[in-house]
Amino acid sequence: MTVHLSDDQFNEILDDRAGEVARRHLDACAECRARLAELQVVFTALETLPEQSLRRDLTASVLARLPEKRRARAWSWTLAIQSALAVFLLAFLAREFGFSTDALLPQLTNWLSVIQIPTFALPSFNFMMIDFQLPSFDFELSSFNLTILFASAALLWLVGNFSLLRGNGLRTRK
Amino acid sequence: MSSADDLALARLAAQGDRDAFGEIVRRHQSAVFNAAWRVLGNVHEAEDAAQETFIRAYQFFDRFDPDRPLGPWLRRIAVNVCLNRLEARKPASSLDEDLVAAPDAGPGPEAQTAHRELGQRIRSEMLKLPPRQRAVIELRHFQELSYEEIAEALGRPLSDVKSDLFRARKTLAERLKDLRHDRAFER
Repeated sequence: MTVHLSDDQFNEILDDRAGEVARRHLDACAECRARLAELQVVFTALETLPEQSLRRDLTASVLARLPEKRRARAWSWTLAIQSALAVFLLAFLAREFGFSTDALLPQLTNWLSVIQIPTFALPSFNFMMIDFQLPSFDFELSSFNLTILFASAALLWLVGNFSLLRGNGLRTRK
Repeated sequence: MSSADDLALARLAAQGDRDAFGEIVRRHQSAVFNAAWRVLGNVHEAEDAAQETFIRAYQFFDRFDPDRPLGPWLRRIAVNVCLNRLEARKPASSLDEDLVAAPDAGPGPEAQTAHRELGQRIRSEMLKLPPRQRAVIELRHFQELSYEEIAEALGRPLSDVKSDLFRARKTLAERLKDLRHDRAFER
């Protein structure tokens, strides 16, 4: 039984991408040549299609419908505010839950030795770690205050991510 | 128009320069409109799709690769816009209200008529294809994209693109078989 060219092979021949095997088969097979000739009518037909002239210049109407471009600055501000709030929140919670910088240096040294980074560079940072104190806030940690704090952070997070999604144009996609 | 000019305009447009974007619209509107017209088959809808194409391009200019020419990128968006429209509209809606509006071409009146009728016939057959096959034909035959580029442009698997392309060609070939012996077809 003769195996004729597959649909993909016909496509490839029509688009000048065919391999040697397909071309050799075509030379030898009258049936496939006839089928190819039928398919080639499409190319001639589509070349015959005339171009259509535009009835009017679309420029003005396109420009009138353009949305405002978002300014990168607005996004940067959102990011800066979010970052500041995150740092504030971390510092506040760290202090309130008893996190101490005294424990940080040995812990850091331990981590670095685990991932095999030489610790001789660390002493130069000692003075920073020793002098560094977490900020103190005159703020009572009641459940009400905590709720307000988390609600504010969540709200800012939502606003920031809304800006990000809008920035990616997701609202305008169909 | 040079691609270097296009690139300079695209950079300005990406920063929100409306004048530069207006120049891009002026330069490419005809090609974008024609791509939309071939896929949608309706002048009014094609104009609307062309406008939507430019608005999308403006919104997503940060996705434009400056190492590639601008025209094909715009026409790819146009085909996607048209495909969305075709898939959203009801199958019974009119595709060919302006088939009679095909432009004249050719020297004598008889040749003009024959050529116009031929163009209408071919467009009519093309518009009977399912939307995805129409989009693939547009991207392959008119925009000359590779199979891989078509798959990327339409967000579809390569095997589907090849299959749609072959089916579309086969269907058109069968429907236009009689044209092989048509004198007007030989031009």
